[in-house]
Amino acid sequence: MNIEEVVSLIEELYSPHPSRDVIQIQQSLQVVQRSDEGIHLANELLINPSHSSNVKYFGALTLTVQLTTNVDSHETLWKLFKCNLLHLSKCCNLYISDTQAYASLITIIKKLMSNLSLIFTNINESDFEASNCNVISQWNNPVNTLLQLLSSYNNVPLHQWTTNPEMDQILHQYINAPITYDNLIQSIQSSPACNKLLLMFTQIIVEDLTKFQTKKNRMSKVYEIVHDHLYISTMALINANLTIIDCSDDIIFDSISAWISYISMVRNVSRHGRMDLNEMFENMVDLILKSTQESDNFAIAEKIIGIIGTVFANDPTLMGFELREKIEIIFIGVSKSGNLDISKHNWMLQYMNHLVTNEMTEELKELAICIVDFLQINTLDVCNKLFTTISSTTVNHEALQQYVKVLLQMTNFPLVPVLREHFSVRMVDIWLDLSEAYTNLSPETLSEQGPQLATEIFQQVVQILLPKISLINKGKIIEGDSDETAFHEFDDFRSAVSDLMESLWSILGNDKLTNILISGLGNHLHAINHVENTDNDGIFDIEAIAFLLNTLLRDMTLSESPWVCDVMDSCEFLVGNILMLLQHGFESPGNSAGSHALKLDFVRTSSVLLGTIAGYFQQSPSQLDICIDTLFQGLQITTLGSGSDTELNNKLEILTIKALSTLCDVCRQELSSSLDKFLAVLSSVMSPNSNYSSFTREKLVRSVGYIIEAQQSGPEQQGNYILQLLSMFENLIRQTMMIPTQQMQQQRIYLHCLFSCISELGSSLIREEEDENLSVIERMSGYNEYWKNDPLAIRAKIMDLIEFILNDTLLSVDPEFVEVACLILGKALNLPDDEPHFLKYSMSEIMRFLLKQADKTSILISLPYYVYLLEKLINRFKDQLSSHDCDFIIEQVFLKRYQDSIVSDPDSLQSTINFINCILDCKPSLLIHSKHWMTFILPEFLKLLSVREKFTIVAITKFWVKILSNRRYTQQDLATMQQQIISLGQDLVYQTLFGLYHTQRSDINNYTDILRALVAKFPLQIKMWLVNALPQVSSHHKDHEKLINKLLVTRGNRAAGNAILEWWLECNQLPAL
Amino acid sequence: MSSLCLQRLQEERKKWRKDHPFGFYAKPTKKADGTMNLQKWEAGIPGKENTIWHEGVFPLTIEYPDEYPSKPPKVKFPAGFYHPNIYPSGTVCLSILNEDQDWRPDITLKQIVLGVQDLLDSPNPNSPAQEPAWRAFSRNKAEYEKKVITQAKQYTK
Repeated sequence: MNIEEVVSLIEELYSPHPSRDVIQIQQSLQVVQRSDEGIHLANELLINPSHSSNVKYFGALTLTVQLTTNVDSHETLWKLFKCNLLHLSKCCNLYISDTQAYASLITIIKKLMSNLSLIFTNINESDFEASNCNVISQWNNPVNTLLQLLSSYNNVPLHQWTTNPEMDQILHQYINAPITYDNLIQSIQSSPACNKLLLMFTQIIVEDLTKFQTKKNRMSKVYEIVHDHLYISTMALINANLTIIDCSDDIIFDSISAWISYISMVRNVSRHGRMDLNEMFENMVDLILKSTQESDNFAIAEKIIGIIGTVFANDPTLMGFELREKIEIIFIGVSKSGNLDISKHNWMLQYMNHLVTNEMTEELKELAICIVDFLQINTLDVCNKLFTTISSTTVNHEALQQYVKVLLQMTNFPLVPVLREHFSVRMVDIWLDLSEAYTNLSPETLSEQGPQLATEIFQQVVQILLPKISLINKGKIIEGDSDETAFHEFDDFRSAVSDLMESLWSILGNDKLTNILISGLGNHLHAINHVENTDNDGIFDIEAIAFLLNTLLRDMTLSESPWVCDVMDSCEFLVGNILMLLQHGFESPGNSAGSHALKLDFVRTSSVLLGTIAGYFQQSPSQLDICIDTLFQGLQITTLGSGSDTELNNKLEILTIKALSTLCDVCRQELSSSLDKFLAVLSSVMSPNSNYSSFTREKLVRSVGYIIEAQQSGPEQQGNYILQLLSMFENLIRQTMMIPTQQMQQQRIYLHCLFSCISELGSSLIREEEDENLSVIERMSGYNEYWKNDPLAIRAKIMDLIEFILNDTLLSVDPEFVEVACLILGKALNLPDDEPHFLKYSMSEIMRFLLKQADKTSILISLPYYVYLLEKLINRFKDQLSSHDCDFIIEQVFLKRYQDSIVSDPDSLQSTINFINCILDCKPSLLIHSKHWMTFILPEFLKLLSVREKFTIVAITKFWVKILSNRRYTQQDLATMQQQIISLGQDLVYQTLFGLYHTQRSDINNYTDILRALVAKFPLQIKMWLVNALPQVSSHHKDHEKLINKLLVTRGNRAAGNAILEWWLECNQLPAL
Repeated sequence: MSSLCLQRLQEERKKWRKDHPFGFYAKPTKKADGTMNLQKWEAGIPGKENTIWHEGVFPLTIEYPDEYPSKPPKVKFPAGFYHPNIYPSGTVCLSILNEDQDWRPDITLKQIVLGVQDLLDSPNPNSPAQEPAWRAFSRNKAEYEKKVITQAKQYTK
């Protein structure tokens, strides 16, 4: 391909509408780029002034390709070095001569600079022979080289600016020639374009070095050269730009940022990384103060604040202490050490005013982040100076007060947080740091006035932040910003303030924080019945307090905190105001996304708080009823909405029912007189015509169950209530099942819910273990007797209902219904003998159910639930069971179906093994003396050691470990088992090794456990078993011997695991550990 | 706790406070004496929108070993949490939390919680950690989804 053809292809490639396939063009061009002719091609493309910028850029790109693919010798590198330098000099000179006309050259210049940056690293990191005088073994300063070449451009005839021996000579002479400071300054002063190019070059080099750091581990020589040469001229260049030259061009700030990133990175990885930037920072700070509305509309200040903000965020110690103090005076008006300079701070206030007036929210946010990051550098010092006697320097208290005042003012920035300002948002971090630092102080270091000062400051913080987190602001955010980010950011702000409260509590305690918030919430009336007329700000204030109180009261056991309860009692309107929030949430119009969010927040805050203060209602139950009524009303409202409200209403419904459930659980005794009201509501909630979710229905049944559990009038009353509920469920179930199935899915969900309600009722009547209420314990025997006799035949009724449901052809094969049936029957099986419960079924009742159902339903679907029930049964009745009973269960439930169904289904197989394991866990004798032990279980389970399914492997290996080592064995069991294993040992070892060899790595440990147990329990036999079995499993004989030796040495301890893993890796030809 | 561990955890906390994904929370727990326990955190993972997990914020505990960051933290949901890749104890089975797999010392808290959030709706059926959820996920999606939705309601946002 000749040059013209290449040029035409390049033009085609960059054309907006190429006539040929672009991929094909790229492939053709890449071949030429990578070829030995690449450098020649690049030269041709770059040298011809008539070529377009695209063509020239492609020439520079070709040099990059050559650099990354073809540098196999020093000669090639030198050739590429020369080409890049010569073309860069030419392009730069053209650009400097007329920046407008040659503006398009910038992309080519950048590419050439980037190539030279790569060459700079390559040369300085390579070990070239220094004896060869033609070899450039070190390139000190690309900026100086470029400046030398630019300065000499007019001295060398134009035709010589090509690769020839004379030029080689010149380049050798210039590459490491120094440039004096004066020359440098003179050059950049006389040509802004030259200044720009030099800044660009140094920026590109350090950006590349920062980038390369992740790829290359060691570049110490390059770092040293940068430190000794490039850093010096760059700092001269940057500082001159900051002080002498008008630096409005972004390039200076880009260059500064690149150097900060580079030094921040390199100072952690090399001793040559320590380069001082303070002069530069100082000049930047001076420049900030010169940047005003009049001079440049604060444009430079904005850029510099962006840069120093990054420094404070990522590597604040890059800036020296004195300079930071100078910045402190600008930001705060006073330094911690007591220096004061209002004039500098005035600049800050003017800048803030400019940002606020012009609604430059993003810039204001950046400033807030910058200041807070700065303040966070040394909060500990602020803490020490404010509250302790530690500080070494004399503390100027007046200055410190001023300092704190400014911090408080920033927190109280007079605009809407998140939407218009971020100071208050970011300052939360400062107060959190300060409060944590204060909490960590040892008491003896506190100054006399320290605790009082801390109280004053932190109480002010709380007062400032309360209106800031008000939902009134969230409303404004939703109205003012369609973007959801701000909305979420506000929620995060509220959470951060809530976290801060937790931290402040350890300083302020209940007296100065919790109780004050409680008073704030409960001392003023906000009329419950006049929501429309209520002063809205008041509602929002109350919500903010309630929100924070949730955090503070959440971890408190209020029933055991009489002082806090007393304070709550003394606040006449506390509960009323919480309920007002709840009502407001339910009743406020939800006609937009914004109002939806606020409705939800009001209901969330108030309903959660009602649950949180449930312990208080145990002490003062007088207002409990009104809370329940309001929650019921809310629950009713949630079913009224439709369409777009559905999701919101679902959420409101969940929050409401959760609050109700918590109150019923905690205050079950206090609510016992309200049971009839609950039953009436439950009746309407359970109705098929109502619109409640299964979740709500089930939770409400459970809640009612808690209250029934607390009834004190004896078991008959409890029995009557249970019967009442059961009859309701039964009627609804029977009615529903009689309806022709038009909406099958909905009907199924409703039926399942009704069925589950029986299980929920059962759960609610199980007393918590820690409940040691004496009166309850005393009453227990009466209840126990009652439920044993079950005069109302509740158990029989439930069993009938279960059978009625599972007689339905569709429901009997529906695993979810089988599951609920098993949950109901197994509900009371864990309870001790003396614990009464209406669901205490006998073993024969449960077995009858199981045998009947097992014949009716598909075993594959139901077996896991039957096994759940059987396991509970075995655990509950193990002492009454004989091996004969065990045989019966195994036969009737498992053996009958084993070959036809279970063995081919991994889940059923696993369930079967788990059941056997359960017996081994609670009473192994039942199995060991069972007639199916030797005929079915042992031989079958031996075969199962080679299964491939993960959970079956876990179950079957557990089985064998339990056989080999079981603490529940009797002497007789042990003797029988040993005898059996000795006769089975060879097969067991073979099957285990076979399974192990073919398993995946993550399952090895399961097999390891069997081998460890065998080595430990059968040390005399295991060697022979291994010697016989290993060659049958794998042909890696050498590894077998090693394994046997190691296993025997370990005697089955943990080290055996490593030996087995090593063997497995070797045999499977995988890399060793 | 080693100084490296302490330093890194302080850094993690600072980073988290400054920048964390919306809807998540994470904070060190308090010891009995009220001081902060940087080695044990409480966190909350919101279910992703438009998934069956979206209604809940699921509580998580994150325990950092003394060897952190050389060793990964132990991340746990409440015991019995319903998900194919969560062990019955609540321990999360995720490759980036496994020292022998993809754990790297530079993995941040933010990456961990985002990884766990991803895992919620994208279980890995090849790495089962509990039987009920794994079985339902593999065999009966309707049952799986129903249980996940009910669980999400328990942990409603």
